[in-house]
Amino acid sequence: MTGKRVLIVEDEFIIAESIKEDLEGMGYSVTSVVSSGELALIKASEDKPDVIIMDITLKGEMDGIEAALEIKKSHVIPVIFLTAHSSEHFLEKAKAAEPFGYLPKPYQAKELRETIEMALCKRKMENN
Amino acid sequence: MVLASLETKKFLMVNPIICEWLGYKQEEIKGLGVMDIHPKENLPYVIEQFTKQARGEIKLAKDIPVKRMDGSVFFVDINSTPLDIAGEKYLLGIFRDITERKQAEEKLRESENRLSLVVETINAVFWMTDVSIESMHYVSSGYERIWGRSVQSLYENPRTFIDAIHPEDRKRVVAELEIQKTGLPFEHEYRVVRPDGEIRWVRDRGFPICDKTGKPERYTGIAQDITERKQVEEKLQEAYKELTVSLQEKEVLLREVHHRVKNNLQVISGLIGMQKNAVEATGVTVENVKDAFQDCQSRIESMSLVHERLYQTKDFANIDFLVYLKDLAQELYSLYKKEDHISLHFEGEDIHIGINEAIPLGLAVNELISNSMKYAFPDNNHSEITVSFRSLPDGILELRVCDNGVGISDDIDWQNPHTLGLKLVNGLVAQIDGEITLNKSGGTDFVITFRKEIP
Repeated sequence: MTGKRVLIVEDEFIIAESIKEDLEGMGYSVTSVVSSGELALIKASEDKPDVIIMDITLKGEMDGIEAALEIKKSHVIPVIFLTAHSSEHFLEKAKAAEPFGYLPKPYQAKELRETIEMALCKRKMENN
Repeated sequence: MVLASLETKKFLMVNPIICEWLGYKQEEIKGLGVMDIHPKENLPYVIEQFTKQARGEIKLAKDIPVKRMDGSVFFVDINSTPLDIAGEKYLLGIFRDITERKQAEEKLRESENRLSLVVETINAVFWMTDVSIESMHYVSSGYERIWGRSVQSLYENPRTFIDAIHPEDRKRVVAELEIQKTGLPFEHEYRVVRPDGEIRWVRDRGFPICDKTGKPERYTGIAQDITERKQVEEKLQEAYKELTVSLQEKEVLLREVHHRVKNNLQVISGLIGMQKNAVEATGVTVENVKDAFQDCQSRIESMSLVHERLYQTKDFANIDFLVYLKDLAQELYSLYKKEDHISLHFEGEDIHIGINEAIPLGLAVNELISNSMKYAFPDNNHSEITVSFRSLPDGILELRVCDNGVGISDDIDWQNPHTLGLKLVNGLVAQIDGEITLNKSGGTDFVITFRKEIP
């Protein structure tokens, strides 16, 4: 069990719930599941997760890229985008948020775990 | 040279050259007179000219047709002198063959006629002015057709053609016309507003006519009506714009479809993963696995039906949800083989909802109808399922799925369930910011209310 804590930001219930089950199955602990960028900001502060899995299309006014940019201002939590958007336009836009990973949907559980572990490792090295 | 009697108009003498011209021998022409060497139809004119010459009123008779012996005709000018010979009056005529001149004149006339025909019928104005456009030397009648104003008005006020130019083009054209002072050719396009308000597009080209020193003296040019060409150009531009917009829309649509496909695949992958976890939690038996596959099948079907309905619409955005519910129930009937002992009822209105609500709501209703079909009627008596969809005040929509079956056991916490089906129902209703209530009196009556998404 890694015990690392993950915040899921995803507006589709089934996708969010299946990510949660996958992560818990891998030994991670899911701190919260939220569906909007605004709630992601609140939960990032409250939960202080080790990593955030972030969709780009979300409920509310703020998209996942904007939310990641806001979180980056006050937290050092690595963000991994998990999205069905794979066009150059979104990739370029997402780069601005300096994500620790960009996983296209539909994802494979193994890829998700590897991306999270790489993000955590990179964050740890940066902190050292 | 011909000498003819005034009284009898008979020839007294015809010289050999005239005889040759006429094709007669000297002996043949004797006894002939004026009446014999001209075409019949021209005799009145010829006699009139002869008489005037005899009276001394005119000396020269012009363009007199003369008939040869073989019937062919040529023209002459006849210079005459009245003579008195032995008390008898004669007219001496000296003939000058003007056939070549007549032919040249005829050719020139034909050429002028052709040019005039072109100038007057072509949809253009031929013009000639002085350099400062204070005097109009020539303007063709095309001006009246294009400008809708008389040629006379332009001769009187040569600059009035500028007054008719569209206000948005006038300043530019006036500035461009200054080039006439430099002696360079010019070309410009502008709009003309006719008196009836109709607008014509004109392409006007001008060329200098210089004097011997090379100084521009006049300008001549042609102003063509290019309205049709401009209209075609405008239509082409519009079509190009529409095509570009359409292409952009299709690109956006394609990206959206691509996104939807990938997202739906993720949902399906998630559903299968959650179902796998649920089977593992309840025990991997053949029956459980079989049920799990059946449930997965109905869930994917409920999503597929939304897309099927969606692609039958014009905007690919909204579907008639009651029609969708009927299709979905029919699919579940077939899947669970319940056609014989459960009757289905539908109530409500034709309300269209968007894909963001239709997919989660369809999945939720799929669970509720499936649950009713699977668990509500163990004894198969008087089994009824009613699905209703209607709008309430303040933009709220209400969806009900009720049955007259055995009802949900009080042991089941339906809002925090352990079963995947009810867990999905609660989660999906929350996803569309809806609320769900359950009335257990007389069976199961689930009521979902939500606010219609504003597109």
